[in-house]
Amino acid sequence: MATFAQDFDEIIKRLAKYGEVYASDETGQARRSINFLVEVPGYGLPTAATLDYREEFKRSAQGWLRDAYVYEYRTAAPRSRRAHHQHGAWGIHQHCEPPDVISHEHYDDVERLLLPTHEDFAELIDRSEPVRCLGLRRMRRA
Amino acid sequence: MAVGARTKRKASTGVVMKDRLPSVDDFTFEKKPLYSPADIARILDVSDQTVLDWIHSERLFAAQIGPRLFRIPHASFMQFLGVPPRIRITRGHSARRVIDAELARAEPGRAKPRLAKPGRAKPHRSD
Repeated sequence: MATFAQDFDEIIKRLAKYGEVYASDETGQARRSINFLVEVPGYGLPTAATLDYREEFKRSAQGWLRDAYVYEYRTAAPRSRRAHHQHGAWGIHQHCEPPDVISHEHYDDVERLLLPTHEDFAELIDRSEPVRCLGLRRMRRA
Repeated sequence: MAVGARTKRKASTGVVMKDRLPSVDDFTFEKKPLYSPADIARILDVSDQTVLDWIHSERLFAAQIGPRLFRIPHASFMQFLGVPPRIRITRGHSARRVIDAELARAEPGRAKPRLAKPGRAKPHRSD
């Protein structure tokens, strides 16, 4: 099984194929947070999209256990957003804002991992496809 | 090929490579967010098959979007041409819970606020 540091470096390597990467790894006594921001396409071209991935871990006897994540894909023009989150009172959920629609709606989701989610977002970039929000189910809270 | 020929000028890329790593500004071809293998072949003055060989041998990263359809991200192509990857890494020792706090601000009225019971003087927590 890969160590945490190898995972971190491997993720950076994968993300760097899509743009300029800003990464941070903050480790405390009980918590750890890793953040990745990718400006796509970068390298002299204006930023058309950003990939923003954040994970928070808590220390346990088994090692670092993830207890929150934010995986976001945003496009600049037209403005759109696709996001998978686990945090706070909402738990696991997703957001979707098709081109030029602003929405704070929460939708049902399943637990996500960083690299497979990145593959999904990268596919939108590779195909130059807009964000679509079909088939999502709204979350309802009491 | 531009990567190997560090002392020659390539008319197609407009780059002169001496004893330094190339930068994005060295390349004069029209830059795009995504390139097809044919774009790369034209820029580097090689055959389409050569570009496909680079892709299949994983020398050049490309995303496969169809049975015979590839797209090469700009960053990947720049790195293939020898431009160093633009990566900034910071490491520290101040991890604290921020996702909850940030998203509570970004999604007002959505997350359930965590309120201290009235009359209990608890120390303020930043998370």
